[in-house]
Amino acid sequence: MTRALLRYVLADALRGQRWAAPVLLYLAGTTAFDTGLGSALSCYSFTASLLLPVSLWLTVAIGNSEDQTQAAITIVTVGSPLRVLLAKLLAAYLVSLPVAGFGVAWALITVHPVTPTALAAGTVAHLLCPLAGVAAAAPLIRPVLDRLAWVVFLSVGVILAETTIPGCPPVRSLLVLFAQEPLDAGHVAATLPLITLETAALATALVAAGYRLSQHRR
Amino acid sequence: MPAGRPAGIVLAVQIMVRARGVWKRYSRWGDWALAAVDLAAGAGSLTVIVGGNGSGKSTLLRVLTGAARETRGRVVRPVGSIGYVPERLPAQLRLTAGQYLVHMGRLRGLDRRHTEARSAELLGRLALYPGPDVPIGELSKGNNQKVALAQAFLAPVRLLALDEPDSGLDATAAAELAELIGQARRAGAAVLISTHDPAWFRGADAAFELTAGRLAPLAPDVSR
Repeated sequence: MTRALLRYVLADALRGQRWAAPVLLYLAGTTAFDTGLGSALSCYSFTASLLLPVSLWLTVAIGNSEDQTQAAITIVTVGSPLRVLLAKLLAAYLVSLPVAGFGVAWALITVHPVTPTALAAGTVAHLLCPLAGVAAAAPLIRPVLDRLAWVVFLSVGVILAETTIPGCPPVRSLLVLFAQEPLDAGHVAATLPLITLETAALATALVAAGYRLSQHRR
Repeated sequence: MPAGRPAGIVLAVQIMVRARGVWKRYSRWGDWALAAVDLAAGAGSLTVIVGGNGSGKSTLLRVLTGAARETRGRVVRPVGSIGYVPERLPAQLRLTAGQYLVHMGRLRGLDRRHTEARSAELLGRLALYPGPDVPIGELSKGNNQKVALAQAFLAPVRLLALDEPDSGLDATAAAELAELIGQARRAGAAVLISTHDPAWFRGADAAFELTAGRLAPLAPDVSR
């Protein structure tokens, strides 16, 4: 049933085309970024960081794709609001992945050369940032928040927190890591798993908070 | 008591949904939409709920099905085996009727072939016009309602909650709806209907009136 639920969420959300704006924003932002002056790591810093607001926006678009009445039928049919929420978040992450793939590929196309260490670190960064963006959107979608103004306001807060709070996983931590050039493979191997674990923990906490809040609002 | 049953023996009826002391409000400072509601519906029963606009009928069905969460009290329901028909499917639903029903059937664990066959049967019986390939948002109110009904009857369920199910339906579809409800009851489903139409009282096992969120049984002479 999980695959069926995922298929339904994707079919409904992708027909809505609300996903197009954040995807176009990412494509435009990435291609407009002047890689001629930067290295692969500076390119990855930008393209991975940009995935945070883009995946957050995508998740809000996909998570709010269903009208509340339609969502009620889905929850009753599935029998679990948690499974429906997780399916929406997973769908948003899956849609974010090709977008992230474009970000990884962009540096390969425009920056020469890209070292294996930079490529590996960049790939992990492009997997972690959308994970954080999707999870951060969990408390921002219906039924927790319905008013767009609040969603925008809190989304900006999330982005500012991620980029400015020292040690905040994954964006701030990755920006600090990628600022060290040339990249030391040993340092990357030691730091990236830690950032991954911190991001996973943060994402789990945000999704749990989103579910708990949604239960109060349902 | 039916003939042939020894005196003093009461047949046990399996309770499909039970609400005990259920209260519901949508915000911490909001008014109570439901207050101290007690309700039980057994297998094969038909329970009719009437009440004015805003009395809490839709909220009650949403809480009983799990679409909404009770603020206080407890609801025991058959999880994952519930058919729910809201007052109306949203107009912005972009899938076609056929696509939507296939997805809903798959969510109920039916395979695609079975779902398509059942969808075609239901939409044929309910006479969906112009057909299953039209986006739901472009359907008229009555045809939109037919799709909402069809998704609830795709697979056997233990609880059917229908919120003004005959709203906007033509006479043919209304007769088919009554037949579908009868079939579901014979298969053991408890059926809850919120309505303004007293015709539903005929054949009902219980009838209640909801007033400002409070549920009261209707007198037998009113409900029969």
